Amino acid sequence: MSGDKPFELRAGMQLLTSVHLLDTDLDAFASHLEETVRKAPALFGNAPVILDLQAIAEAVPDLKGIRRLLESAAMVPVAVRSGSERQKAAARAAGWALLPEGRPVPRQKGPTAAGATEEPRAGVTVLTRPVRSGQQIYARGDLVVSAQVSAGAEVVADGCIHVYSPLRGRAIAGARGDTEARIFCQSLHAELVCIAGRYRTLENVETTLLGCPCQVSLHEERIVIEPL
Amino acid sequence: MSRVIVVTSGKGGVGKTTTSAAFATGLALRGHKTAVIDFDVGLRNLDLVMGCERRVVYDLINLISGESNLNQTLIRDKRIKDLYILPASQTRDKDALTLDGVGRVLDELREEGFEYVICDSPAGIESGALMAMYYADEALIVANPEVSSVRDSDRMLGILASKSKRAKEGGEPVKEHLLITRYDPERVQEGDMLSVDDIVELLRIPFLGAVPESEGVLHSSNSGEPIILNGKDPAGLAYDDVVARFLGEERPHRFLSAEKKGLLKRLFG
Repeated sequence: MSGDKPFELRAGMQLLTSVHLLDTDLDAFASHLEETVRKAPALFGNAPVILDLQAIAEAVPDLKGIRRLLESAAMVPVAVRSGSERQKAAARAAGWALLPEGRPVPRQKGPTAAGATEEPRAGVTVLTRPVRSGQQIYARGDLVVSAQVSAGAEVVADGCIHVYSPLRGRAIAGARGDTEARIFCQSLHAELVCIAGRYRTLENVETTLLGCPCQVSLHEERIVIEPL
Repeated sequence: MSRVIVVTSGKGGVGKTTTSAAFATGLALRGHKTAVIDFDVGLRNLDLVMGCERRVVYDLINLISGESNLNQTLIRDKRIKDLYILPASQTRDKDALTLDGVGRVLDELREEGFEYVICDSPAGIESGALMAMYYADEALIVANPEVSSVRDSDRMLGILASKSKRAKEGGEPVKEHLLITRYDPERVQEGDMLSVDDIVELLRIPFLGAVPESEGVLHSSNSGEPIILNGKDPAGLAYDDVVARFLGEERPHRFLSAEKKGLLKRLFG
């Protein structure tokens, strides 16, 4: 046993089912819940659930009633998320815990420049050893590689990719659809670059760019490669 | 303390077995007790190149499965005192090769006082190649000056960096050495082959040496005399340099540039 404490606190991330409320009608909620549970009873037994109110704007649903219905369906209602001030007050009164904003607001297109700050991303992954042919690296946030990425290797990141050495393999940034993600490299020899699902092979790229420090970005659905 | 050195490439036919034989022989010539193991189960070749094919009784698989002991299985070289060969099985199923078994054999060799154990890897990246490199402390990456060979070597370096024992246990990474074989400076000059600089730029590992293409190599493997024993052949001399460099000696690189041909030689070949 470690020390004399009866417990210790640890932060952690858990995956919870969230019920996204789309309508405030309690009867409709009850019948749809019954149907859902009947289809897959094993999925919901004692499952903790979160009630997400983002979709119903300002209306205040019967949060006590919803709580009761969820409990009777053998679920464990835990907290309300993404509510307005009035909804939050009602939730507290009905015995719900409150969670801060969950899902980020879908990113707006267009010239709102504050792009980089609004969405919380996983941290940076740094690689100092070469990524060799046949290896595949995936980073949930940004990926920084200070060694080379060989031909036949693949680096994938949800955020941006930086390669401070020749990039000869494939680079896939914004793997979960972030169109603001970019690829930076010290020496461009890549086989293929891809941002948010749009890709381009380097077969027809201007030869003046090959071997140069470059950045790759997405402009109106097109992959653009520019010298740095 | 013994060092396990894998000779590997990914691609076949680049000169792994020739290199294993020459390198092991070179180490033993300098007085280091050395064993060279053939991991190519089913395609046994090292015994031929080492000239001991008629002395094979037991093999690596027999040893691993307990049908023979180390002394019965090791073949002592007739020319060089400190050199031993552990042949592969030609008939047995290669699934009999297990990581535990290979580990036990390497431990036994260590106890017997072997300073260097050279593992001659089969081509490819299948189980035989993985067994050969798993316990390696150092790796000789053998590449030919062509793009496909270099890419396969790159793949092998990735496997060493992720699947070797050192990588899995998070220890110091396997020490990598680049050895370029079948190097033909004339064809490099003509642009038909990658140069040493090109290959080093692509792979970015320390360059141990280049062995020139030489007719002597074919003759030596047919006659079972490791090429390093031929003090007149450029490939033999290059291997001698490689072994010396590996052991820490400073030797200038040779055979990297095309010989200047005299007028007569240019006219009459």
